[in-house]
Amino acid sequence: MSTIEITQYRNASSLNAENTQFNVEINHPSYGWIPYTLDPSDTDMTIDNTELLSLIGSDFAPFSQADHDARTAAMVRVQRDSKLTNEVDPVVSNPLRWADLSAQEQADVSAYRLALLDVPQQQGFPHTISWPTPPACL
Amino acid sequence: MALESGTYIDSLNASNPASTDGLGQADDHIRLIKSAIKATFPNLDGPVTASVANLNNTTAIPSTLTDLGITDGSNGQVLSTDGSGNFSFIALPAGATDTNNYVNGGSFSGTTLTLTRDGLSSISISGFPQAITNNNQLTNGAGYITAASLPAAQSTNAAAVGTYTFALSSVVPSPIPGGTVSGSQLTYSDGSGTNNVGTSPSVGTWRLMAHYVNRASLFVRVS
Repeated sequence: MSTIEITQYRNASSLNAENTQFNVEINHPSYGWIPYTLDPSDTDMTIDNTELLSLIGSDFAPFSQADHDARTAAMVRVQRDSKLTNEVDPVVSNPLRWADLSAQEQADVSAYRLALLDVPQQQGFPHTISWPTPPACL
Repeated sequence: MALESGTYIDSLNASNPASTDGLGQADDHIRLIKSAIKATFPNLDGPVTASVANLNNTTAIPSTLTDLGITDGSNGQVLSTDGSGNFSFIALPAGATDTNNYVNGGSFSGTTLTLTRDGLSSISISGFPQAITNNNQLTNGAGYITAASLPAAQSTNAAAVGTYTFALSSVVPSPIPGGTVSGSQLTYSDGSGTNNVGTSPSVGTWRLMAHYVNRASLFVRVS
C-alpha cells in the first residue's frame, strides 16, 4: 500500500512523558478528519509517521499524567463494565436463574459483583488491577 | 707358505697358494675351501636350481601385499585366509577388552530419563517437559486442535492497516458502526466480550465494523 500524505492535523496531544506517542486528528484524503494514534514504532507505513511527527513539531498539548490516568481509568472501567454486563447481570437480573442458585452461590455472585464494583478503589487503580475471580457458578 | 684363515667364502684368498709353495700344503687349502663352503651354505641338502637371473633379480622381490596379488584393505583391518590360498582383509570383532558399553534399557519418571548401560552405571538426563495431565494440552489424532482460546493481543507492530481485532472502546459515548477511534482508545479482547487482554493497539485509526453493547466489538484498522 502506498504512503498517504497527510498535510493537515489538529488537536495533537502527547500520550507519554517522552513525547513519543500522540493522539491527533488527521485530515485523511479518503476519510476526512479521523482520530489517529501516532507512534514512531508503528511499522505500518500507510501514513508516514515520521513525516506526520515532523509536521506536528512542537504544536501539541503536553503530556498530562492526570489525563493519562483518566484514559487508563476509563479503559479499566470499560473492562469492568463488560464483565458486569456479561457475567453478572444475566444471572442477577433473571429471577429464575437467580432462584436456581444455592444461598452460597448467591453470596459468591454478590461478592464477585461487589469486587468488580470496587475495582476503582483498589490500591493500584488504574494501572495495576487485580481482577476478581468469577465464582464457579457463573 | 701362505694359508689364510677364515670361516666363510669371503675369507678365502684367491691368490693362495703361491706357485712356490710345496705340494705338501695342498691339503690345508682343500680343507679350508670345504670348510668355508659348508659353513656358508649349511642347509643346502639338495640342488639349488635358481638361475643366475633369478638370483640376481632383486627388483622382483615383493615388498608389499599388492606385489603378492592381495588387494589392500581398510585401515585397521587384518589379513585373513580361507585356508584355500585366498586372502582378504577383515575387521576384527570387538574383543574382550573392547569398551562396548551399549545401552540395554531405560525408564522415564517425571522429567528425568534414566538409561541403563551394559558394563557401566546408569545415566540420567533431566529437564524433559512434564507429562501431559490435561486433555486441553492435546490435539486429537486428526491433527486439528480440539479446543483453544482465540488469539491473544496482537503486537503493535502486527496491527497493520487492514488488521481486524476484537476490542473494547473507551470512547464515551460508544461509536456507532462505521465510526472511527484512535488505537489508544481500544483494549484488545479475546472475542468473548469479557476476557479482555488489557493491552491497546496504540497505533493508527480503527473503524468499528460491528458493535455489541458492553462486549468486544469488531474493529478494522483503516489508517
